Amino acid sequence: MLYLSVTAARTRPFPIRDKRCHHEEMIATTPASSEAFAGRIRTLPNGLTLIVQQIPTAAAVTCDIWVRTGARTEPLQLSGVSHFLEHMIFKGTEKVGPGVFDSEIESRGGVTNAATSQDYTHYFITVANEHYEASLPYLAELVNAAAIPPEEYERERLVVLEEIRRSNDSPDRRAFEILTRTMYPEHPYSRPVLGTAESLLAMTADQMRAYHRERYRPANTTVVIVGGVPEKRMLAAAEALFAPLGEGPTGAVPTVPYPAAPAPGVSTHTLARLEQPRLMLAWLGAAIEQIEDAIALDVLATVLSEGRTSRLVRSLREEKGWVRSVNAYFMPQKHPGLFIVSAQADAEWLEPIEAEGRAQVRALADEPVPDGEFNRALRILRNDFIFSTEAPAQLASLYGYYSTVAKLDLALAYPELLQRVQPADLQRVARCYLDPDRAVVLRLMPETP
Amino acid sequence: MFRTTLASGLRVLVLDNPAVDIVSARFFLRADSRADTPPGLAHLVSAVLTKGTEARDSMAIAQIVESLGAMLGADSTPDYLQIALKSLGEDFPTLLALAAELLQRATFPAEQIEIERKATLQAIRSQQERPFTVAYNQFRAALYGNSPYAYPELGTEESVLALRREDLLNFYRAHFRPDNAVFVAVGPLEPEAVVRLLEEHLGDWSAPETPLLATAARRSPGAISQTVRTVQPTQQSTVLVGYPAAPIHSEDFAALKLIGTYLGSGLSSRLFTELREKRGLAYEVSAFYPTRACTSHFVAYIGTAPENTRTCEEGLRTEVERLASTPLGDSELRTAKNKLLGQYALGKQTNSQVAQLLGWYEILGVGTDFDREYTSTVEQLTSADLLAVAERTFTAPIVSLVGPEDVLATVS
Repeated sequence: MLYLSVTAARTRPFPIRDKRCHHEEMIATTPASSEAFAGRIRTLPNGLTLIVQQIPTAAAVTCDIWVRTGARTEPLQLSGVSHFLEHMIFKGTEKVGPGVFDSEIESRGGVTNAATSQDYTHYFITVANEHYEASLPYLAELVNAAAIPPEEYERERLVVLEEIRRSNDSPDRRAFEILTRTMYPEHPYSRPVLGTAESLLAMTADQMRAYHRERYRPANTTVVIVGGVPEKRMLAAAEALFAPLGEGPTGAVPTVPYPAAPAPGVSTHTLARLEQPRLMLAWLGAAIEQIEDAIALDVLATVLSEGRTSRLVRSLREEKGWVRSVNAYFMPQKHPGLFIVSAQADAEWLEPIEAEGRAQVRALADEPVPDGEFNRALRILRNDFIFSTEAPAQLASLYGYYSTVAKLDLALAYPELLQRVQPADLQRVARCYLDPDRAVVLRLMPETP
Repeated sequence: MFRTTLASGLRVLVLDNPAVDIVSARFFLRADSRADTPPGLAHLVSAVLTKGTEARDSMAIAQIVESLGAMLGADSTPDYLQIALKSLGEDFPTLLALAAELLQRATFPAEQIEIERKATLQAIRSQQERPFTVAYNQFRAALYGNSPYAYPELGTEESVLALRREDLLNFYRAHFRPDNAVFVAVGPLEPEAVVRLLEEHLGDWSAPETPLLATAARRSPGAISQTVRTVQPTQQSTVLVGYPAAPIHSEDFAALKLIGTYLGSGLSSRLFTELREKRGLAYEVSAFYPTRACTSHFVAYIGTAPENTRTCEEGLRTEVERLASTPLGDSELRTAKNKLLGQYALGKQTNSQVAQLLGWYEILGVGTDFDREYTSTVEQLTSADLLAVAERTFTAPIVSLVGPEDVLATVS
């Protein structure tokens, strides 16, 4: 399923979702058939978008607040502020002290978490239906009226510094940072969502409060409610809480130009504590605004590496035995995202794997994908969409994401747009984005003892 | 819920959920890892299981699953193996037929064993890249000695290199039999139709005359307090404090789950508020208590700046062991119960989650009613119950540390 991106979360998310690929998305220019939408969409007079959908069989309800701000639009000197603010939101308001929110939600048997990415920040709770009216006001209060108390600010900064250290101890996360620095040399996507120890230490609570005031405005916010509560009650409680919000000051959000194409080439990096080399081939893909292209890239990634019969898995893992794993995926974002082919393998195989990766990508441009493979990929993606919208929290996340980073219509139109893809589209998109001679290639090697 | 036992001994559970057009089904096979089962054998069996049958090779099997856009995978845990299926309703019969073939006529081709053996060896090495995994593995080794729970699911380099095709086939014959299996399906299903499908595809599946391997009486690990360490040049130290803890059948089970919730579940948990929110010592700090057929373990852990290693080790121990002397207050107890019961209910939102839980209880021998019994036991627990269980359990900690060399030396 084509959505969500690399995020930093308030805490490590609990269960691993049984999702096929990684992160992806889509967006588009084509207005889609939203008459099929089973819920309701309201734009409040202050500009806030409210999306609700009742699922009569659901025992729980998810409330998910999405704000259109993230690392991409941070001023350079405030690198990491979106994520640090996400932590500070939970430190309460004048009315709701630190820790009160967590215990109010969890003592009702609910769960809560939050996540920040380059393009968005969101906060959510899932509670049993009967706790809906009692819980939502706490979430609204936190997000709208964050106090950012100075003492809590100092202490929570230590927590975020631990989060950075923890991230640095993961070779795969460091590899991803090297990749984004290489792919986006002049663009904020090169900066880690967490910020750096240096930027966090230089930042003040006043700067964070100003950032909160400017960015957390109703016009930048989508509130999504999905679950077993009747629609009327969903709307009544949400409107009572969010309609009174003022429009807020108009902050100057920096305009960030699209990234330039990175220089193709091969570079080698050493990573401490890496046990086995990684190889990555990467290209800039479509922006989320180009939904047809984004979907086609997702189909191409599926043809390349989803399942044992896919081209790269079959060749590199099953037949040649060169890789422990190989994975192709498209990670869409608001600005052009990344199409990545990554493999984990012993050093002796990196060169032939790279050659095979280029050759397979070239073949996608040169020859139409045969019917069998094409239909298989479409069916996998169609079902993946169905499988990943089973629980209210999954649906809420889908709606919130699209509403924030693109348009809700695109989430609703996804199945239909997917069925419209033709083999010729795949060739066009492969030619447009995936020039085998323009790949950026990273070789990540263990330190030699 | 519909339940029946087929003539072959296969236990069948079907839950009709017409709300979504997704069928999630699982075959559970009890794999009571006996002391003489080499580490990693069950894992390799599950990795190769889907890669060949008498009628189909690896690619032909994958072709069926992938062309339906479905999922079919095999997996192993210390207590059971499973084959998990997920598809749209209309594709379920095809997928079930294929799973039936794997259960009865898997061939474990030699070349597929070598592919998966190699991938497994690489995965074993890669575990070193994750400090928590290193800490958890050395904790289990210290706690369980030579018994099966001592090893990571993947096995060890040495044990995986030594596995022969004959070992896989013997394991398959011994465990893949209907009287050792539970089938569970959740989705838009008519139970009678599911039973007919099972009879059609598994009609010839019968238990061999040899009796099912008896559950190996497993010695409870002796509680010997100790500290184990691995030096890695990491930016954080990982500190894990663990204790042997009751299996699912024990009357202490529900109390330990409740203690786990109180200490480690969520953002209002005791460890999170004391060590992270009030002291800023960590990003990740939590506790867990796995559901196991034999002696399990209760673990609290934290990732922290190296200079705080000792403080955190003391902090974790203090918080856990305090429960053996200080009873929870009424409101703490009520909150912990609400949290456990509410989050337990939230863990049953998808068909896959429900299928997993019901099948798991059945294969572990506590039965699907345990779903209800467990929650009602939790409801009735008192502070005195928790105190007594904590006193019994939190006696001899094993401390497991991963981090920079000079720092680990500071913890005795």
